[in-house]
Amino acid sequence: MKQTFWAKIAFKNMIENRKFYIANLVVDVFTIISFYLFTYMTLNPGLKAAPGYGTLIVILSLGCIFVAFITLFFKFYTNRILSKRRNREMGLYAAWGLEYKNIDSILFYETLYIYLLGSVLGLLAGFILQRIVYNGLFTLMKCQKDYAAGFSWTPVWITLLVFIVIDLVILFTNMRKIRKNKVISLLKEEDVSAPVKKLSAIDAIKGLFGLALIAGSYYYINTAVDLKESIEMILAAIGIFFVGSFLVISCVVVMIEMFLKTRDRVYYNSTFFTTIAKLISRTKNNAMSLSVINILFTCVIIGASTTISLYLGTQRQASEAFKADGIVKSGNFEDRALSKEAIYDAAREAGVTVEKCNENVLLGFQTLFDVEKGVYRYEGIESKDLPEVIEIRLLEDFNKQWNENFTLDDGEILLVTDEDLEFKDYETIDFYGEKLKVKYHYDTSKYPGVDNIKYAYENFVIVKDFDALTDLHEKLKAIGFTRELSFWCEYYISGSKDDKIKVDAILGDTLSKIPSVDYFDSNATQLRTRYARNAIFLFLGCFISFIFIMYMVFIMYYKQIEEATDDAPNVLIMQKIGMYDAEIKRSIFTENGLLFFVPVVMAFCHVAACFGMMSDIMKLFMLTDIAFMKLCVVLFCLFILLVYIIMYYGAYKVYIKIVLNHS
Amino acid sequence: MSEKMLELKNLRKTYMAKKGAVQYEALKGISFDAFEGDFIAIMGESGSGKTTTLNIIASLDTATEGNVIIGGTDISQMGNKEICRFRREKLGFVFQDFNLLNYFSVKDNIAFPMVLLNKSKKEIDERVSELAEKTSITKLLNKYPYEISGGEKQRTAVARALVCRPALLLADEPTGALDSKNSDQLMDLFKTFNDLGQTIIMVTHSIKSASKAKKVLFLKDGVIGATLEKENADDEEFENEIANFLYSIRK
Repeated sequence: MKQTFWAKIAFKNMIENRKFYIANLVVDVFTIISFYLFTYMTLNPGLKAAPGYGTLIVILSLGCIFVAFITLFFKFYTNRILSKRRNREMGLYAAWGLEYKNIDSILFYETLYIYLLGSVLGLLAGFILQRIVYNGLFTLMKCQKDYAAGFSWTPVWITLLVFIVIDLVILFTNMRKIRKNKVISLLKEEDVSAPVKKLSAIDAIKGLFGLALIAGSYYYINTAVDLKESIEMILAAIGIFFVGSFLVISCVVVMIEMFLKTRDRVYYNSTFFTTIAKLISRTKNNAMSLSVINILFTCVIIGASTTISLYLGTQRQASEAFKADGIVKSGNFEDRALSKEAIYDAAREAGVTVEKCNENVLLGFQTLFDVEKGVYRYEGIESKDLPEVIEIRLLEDFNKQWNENFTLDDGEILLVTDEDLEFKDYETIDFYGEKLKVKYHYDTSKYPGVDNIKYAYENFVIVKDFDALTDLHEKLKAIGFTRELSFWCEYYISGSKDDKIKVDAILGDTLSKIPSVDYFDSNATQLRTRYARNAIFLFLGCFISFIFIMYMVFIMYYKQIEEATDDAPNVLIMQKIGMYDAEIKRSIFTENGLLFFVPVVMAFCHVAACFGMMSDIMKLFMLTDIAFMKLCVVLFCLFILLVYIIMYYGAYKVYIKIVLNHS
Repeated sequence: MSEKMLELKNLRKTYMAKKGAVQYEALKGISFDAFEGDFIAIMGESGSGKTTTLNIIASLDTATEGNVIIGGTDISQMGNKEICRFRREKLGFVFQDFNLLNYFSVKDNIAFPMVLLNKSKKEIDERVSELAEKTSITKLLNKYPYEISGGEKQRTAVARALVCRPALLLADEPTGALDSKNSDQLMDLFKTFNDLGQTIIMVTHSIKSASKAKKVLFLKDGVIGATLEKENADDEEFENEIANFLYSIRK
């Protein structure tokens, strides 16, 4: 038979099954838009203008791969529902004498139509959205837009190719499934009202195990000392949450529902009678989808709310990371006057004044410290889990910085050791063979730095004056030490934000001409670079969250169509018995509500448990205002809950329409 | 004399295809009365209008013309909510394909109409136990519909139909999905309830099932073609009478 015949049959089938195919097409169009936009962004030459171009490309490329994989996963999920629904139809084809190759042709044309239609619509929408998304990212990054206008075929080809592969994988899976099944099993009507799965003792154990998994994860997240390690565990944690949630929903929630069934006052109430009975059956059957919603919801809240708070808190981070308006470091102590002069000149040129200039002369290097004996050496001491650094500073600078009034005599020092190191009352310390008398000893908790992640153990030796510092420096040089004294200058200037940006630009230009200046940073620079970086995180967090939200919508929509089609005969029976439409609607509303809000409640519990870790991660980015972050998370939770309620209401309407139209 | 339970006045039903192009007149003026304690069987070939008549009596469908008066109330004039209330309080329905809800146990299936009427748990338990005993399904109360046989399902459906003590029990081909043994058991059950005063109207193709009724209405092309009264005949004699009548009209 001619291929055009099968092509026509495939087209007719799609019209007949339009309820499911439209949903499939929407999924297709949406995933194509998402993937195309990611690819387009990654390949756009204008992106080179963005700060941190290299990192941005890596992040966007990873985003492309991520979207491709979740698309494959999600399309498998939606295909599973559709193919289950169409088994009987395929069985009928086989019974009418169609060969497998003919059925394959029908399936092929159906896939082709969806692919072509989805690609055209998805790419068209992508073309419309690309400029908005691109400019949106650059606006968020607060940097100049350099939109590379014009059409590029590369992202189109990549998108088409990726989706051909995904669709072919699904097509071959469907073909294989039909060949594997016997005609009679395909023809067999599905049991539309799934039997109530009774719970056994094993289910109770599984439920308890699920609770234990979740509780264990919560415990680990909140007690893990090593943040880096706990971040590395994130994928495992998601897996554990997923398994735990699945077990809790399929066993514990069903047990609660069964318990409610034994409460006569609750169960034998016209509002809850059908609701509880149906929930017992539906919860277990939907456990997998509900667990997926649970994980997606958790990821959306964590991903979006942290990136939103990170972006909105950029000013806070810059201020936290950088207390002064700027800092200049000169590797050559002799050039200190030049550096200082440059700061004052830049301020003058910008029309502002230097309010304060904290100067620091110091000698910093890596060392080893014997806590027991109070000995500093290069070698011969067992190293710790983190590197140890020491800075030798002047008492005058130290007193000025911390507003103290310490006094030292010749040969005396003020010792500040790391708060995480053991504290000993040293009378003297052995500093590379030099005995130094410890007049004061504190730990760094009294003089905290700004780093929120510990990279090294920090120690400070504060000496009486510049002579004492040079004396020590000379002695260190004598034993092979090569490092020179450095000069640090923290400045505070008057004027507005714009004035400070102006000073930043002038100073940056001047300092670049002084060879010994090897470090210059400012609040304005921090703000600029942090906005750029946070904007990328925000873009990714929100984009991927949006994809996840859409997947939640699709799952709910698919489940509602699937279940409503199964439930329609039951609703007809209820009507025949004398249930009002209003009662049926109320019952379905409560039932669906309880069903679809279980994963949301669990997701909120997960987020609450993860909050400590989320705030620790934010501290890495210098967002230390936890109250601000909490506010962002709570507001986002309320927002996403509202979105979910709207989604739920839409899905409920679809359900009602199907069951009541059927009757 | 018994009270008039049901009155059908010149019932007409016309089905119209979309755009009003094709019309099909399923009922062309059906009128009959049923009194308290009646057991009426409606027979006729496929398409004669039996099920349409029953569905209109059950308020599952509406007539194009005519009136359905049950216990003095004209249900043709009722709104949707009133109809639902009326159905759950006054009518019991037994279907060919049982129409049990699979997510309810046998007990809950029977109790369902009482729960809708907000009856107390005590009342529900008492009534369900009484009916389960009468329909011999006491041991099945905690099972689910997919765990019991067709005959047991239909007895459950009968118990559910009677649980609210309906004025009228309507049955649409109740033995259609049952074997002969289960069919006999079910009809004996109907007869027992009828002897206790339950009014029953049943649509059936089965001569044997119809022979249990007190009166048989024969529908042909949307009108009542003939009526046979059982009077003093026993089941077997009445079965023969129905068979002979059907044979004669076919001839």
